[in-house]
Amino acid sequence: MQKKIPLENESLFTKLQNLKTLIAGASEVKEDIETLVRTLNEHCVESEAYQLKTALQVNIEHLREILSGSDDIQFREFWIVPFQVKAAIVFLEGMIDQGIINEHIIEKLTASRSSHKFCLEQLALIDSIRNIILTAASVTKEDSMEAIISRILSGDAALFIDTVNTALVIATRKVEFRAVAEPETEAEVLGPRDGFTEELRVNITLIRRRIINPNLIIKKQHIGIRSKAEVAVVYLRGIANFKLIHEVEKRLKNITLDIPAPSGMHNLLEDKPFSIFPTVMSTERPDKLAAALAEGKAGILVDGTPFCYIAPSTFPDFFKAGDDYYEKWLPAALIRITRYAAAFFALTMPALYVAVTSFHPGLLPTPLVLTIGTSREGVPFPAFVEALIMEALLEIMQEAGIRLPKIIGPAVSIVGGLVIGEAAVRAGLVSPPLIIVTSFTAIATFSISSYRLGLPLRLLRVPLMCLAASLGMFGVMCGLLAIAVHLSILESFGEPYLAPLVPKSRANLSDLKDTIVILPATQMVERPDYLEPPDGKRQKGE
Amino acid sequence: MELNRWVSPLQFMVITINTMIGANLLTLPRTIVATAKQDMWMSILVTSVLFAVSFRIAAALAAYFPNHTSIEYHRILLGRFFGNILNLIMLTLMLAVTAQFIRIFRIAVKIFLLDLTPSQVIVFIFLALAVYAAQHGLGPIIRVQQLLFLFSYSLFIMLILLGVLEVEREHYSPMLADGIKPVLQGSLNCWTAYSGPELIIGFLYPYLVQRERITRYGLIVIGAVTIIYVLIYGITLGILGAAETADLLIPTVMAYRSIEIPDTFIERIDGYLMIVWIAICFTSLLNWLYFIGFGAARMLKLESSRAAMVLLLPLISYLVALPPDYHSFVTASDWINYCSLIWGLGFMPMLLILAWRRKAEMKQCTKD
Repeated sequence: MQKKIPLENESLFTKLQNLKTLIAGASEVKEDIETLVRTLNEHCVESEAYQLKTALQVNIEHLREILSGSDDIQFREFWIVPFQVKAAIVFLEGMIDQGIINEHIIEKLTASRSSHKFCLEQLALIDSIRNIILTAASVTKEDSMEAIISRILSGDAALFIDTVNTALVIATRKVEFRAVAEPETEAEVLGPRDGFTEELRVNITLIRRRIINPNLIIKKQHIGIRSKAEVAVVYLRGIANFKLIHEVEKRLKNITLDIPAPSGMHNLLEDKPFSIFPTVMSTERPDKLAAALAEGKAGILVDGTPFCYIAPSTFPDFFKAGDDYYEKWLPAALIRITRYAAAFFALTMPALYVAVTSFHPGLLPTPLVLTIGTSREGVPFPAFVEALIMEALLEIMQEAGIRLPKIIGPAVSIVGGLVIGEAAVRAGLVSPPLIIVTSFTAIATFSISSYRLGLPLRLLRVPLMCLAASLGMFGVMCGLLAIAVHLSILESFGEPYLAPLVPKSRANLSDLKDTIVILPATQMVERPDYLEPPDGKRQKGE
Repeated sequence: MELNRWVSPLQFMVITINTMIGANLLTLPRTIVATAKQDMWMSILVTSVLFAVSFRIAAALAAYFPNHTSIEYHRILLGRFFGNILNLIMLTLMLAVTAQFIRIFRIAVKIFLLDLTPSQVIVFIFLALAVYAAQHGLGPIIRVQQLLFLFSYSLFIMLILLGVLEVEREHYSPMLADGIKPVLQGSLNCWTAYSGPELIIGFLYPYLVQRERITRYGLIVIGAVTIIYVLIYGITLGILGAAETADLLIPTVMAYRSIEIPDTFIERIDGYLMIVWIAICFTSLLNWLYFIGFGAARMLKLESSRAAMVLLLPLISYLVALPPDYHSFVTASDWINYCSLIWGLGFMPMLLILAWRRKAEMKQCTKD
């Protein structure tokens, strides 16, 4: 309850009240000034803070503020002659099709025709322009400045009309892109020659022309806070499990990176980012994506990268190649087994060499042990150090081969292979059997169909060698067991990473038809069970 | 509370085979041959029948409490205090079995692979690996077992079958020279080779699908394991003969040391046998370790069993080093063998009778 104030103090009380209001007002002014100063200092302008107004000049001023500093933004003001109203078109030069802007927008709007009066009687100004006058294929109404800016930056043109607080956005995007060419990272013998490009629309077309079905769903969304990367989730409705699609969309929505790099998107989608094994596969081949979609998986296409991400991707998927399905089944199955064997040797060969030569020469036949022993005579290093040196050389040469310009690439093989290899043996620094082991390891690494799976195998070679040098075959075995345990812990979009190699039940045993081996196409009646597709049958019959 | 049922019969079979076949693969022929001599294969058959009975009893007991693990139903049947004591006995028994088999593992690795490395290092690395795997729950454990099962057993059986080349037929005769008594005596000695599933089914039952067929799957597993044992032990006996098998510390590996396949790459099968055997041992250890940790966590009503599993590492390392020499280890092994025999054929039937009576009483109550 308020206390009663004596009369003589009343004037004092009023003064105090006034002072209080003044102080409050002053602090408000201070806050306003601070905000103003902060805004002036800030280099970044938030487009969502602006609203579309009816006055054309105000809107243009706002646009200039938001896009200030960019010289490639074009403002073209003109009169819409038939309606006697001013308008402006805003677009990014270099990303638009000038033909559309000239012929289907400006020319139509500036020409006067007798039918225009009729238009205005029937429809509102904005709708008359959109539905009758403009002849561009896609015209949409937008009333949020943020959305308009985002569309302008993607290559569309925005038409602002005086007295209207809605803008028309016309699809005028025309970006220069690389032609559809053969994928360089995934060479195949019998597969199709087209590969994804950096342009999302082209990539979607490459999938659409392979799967002609209304249930091929393409859901686009924008991810990133500052820069909006356009991403499309592709799946076959009725075949892909809805839980998987939900999970993919959820993960994409959860990306809060301000400027996501399209080619590194898989790193933002993985279940266990600290694991060295890839759990999201990327492919440049549309036929591979189409096959994955037909199995019940989902594809993630990102504008700006020729790599499409496949979810989920399990360990055996990295050993599959398109050729497996275009060849006869038996050679294809044997080649696939060879790939698994190559991966095993790429991982263990140097470690096995170290373990056998240092701890268990008894595991090899006696003549072979003698040959290795003789050739190692005079080598000053223990087997482990010798293998470590060769491993380091191999890694450096591989990296040099990738980074060098293609013209001087062969120089690496000459210097690396001939000079270092040959000279090292002649100088007695390394033994010839180790050169064979290292070369075999390198070739085995190259024969794994996925480059991204080759990386962790290369990385794990050194710890395995250390285990071999300290604990012999027991150490190598422990290392391999640890890798097996790690693989069984991993998951890709909720599916076990080792699926379908480790079937959940007897019903899932049929998934093994296309895992280590591959059976004739007529035998693969079912889609992989571990993906739990709503329609599990791939072949319809009696 | 209904637990989430997801372990399929296929996964159950892999778990049980992996639990049964472990370190004793290498040493048991010695123990059995010492009593049963050339009729050791008959002892294995007798044990398999006895064990099938024990497994049936354990499955029937678990079926009375479909939503509880053995830790809980021991408490329900015997009351909180005695139930907990029984749980403690069970977990100690499981710990002892695990420690025993790691000790065998330690001896074998020390003799055949790493003679200079301190045995504590071998034990620690192996246990640490298993603890790392067990930290992530039953799903990954089953997956790693399925993966290793596929590769290790196919390789192992291939290597084992190579032994047939050196088998001498006279080592199996005369049959039943000393009557049936040594055979029965031997069969009791080889109980450890089978022990495991009757204990873990109590933990696993609430998670199983197709529980009604569990005995059938169990019998298939026991049959498969019996075939593997008869093969391995039979071939060992066939190569070495009864007298030598009983003398050697680790007869299985020694038997394969003498095998040579001329003009091939493989000259010394025993080394390869040992390497593959490490993987087989690991899967077995993983199961034992996981279920001990799981049981301990349920007994202490812990939310997660991760801490319990980490604490098992020093405990098991201590138990492994407890017997000072080989003779005291053999005595301890015999005791562990008899204890698990008493558990399987003594305690289990008793608990089954209690469960049956309890159900009958409850039926009576509902009738009244």
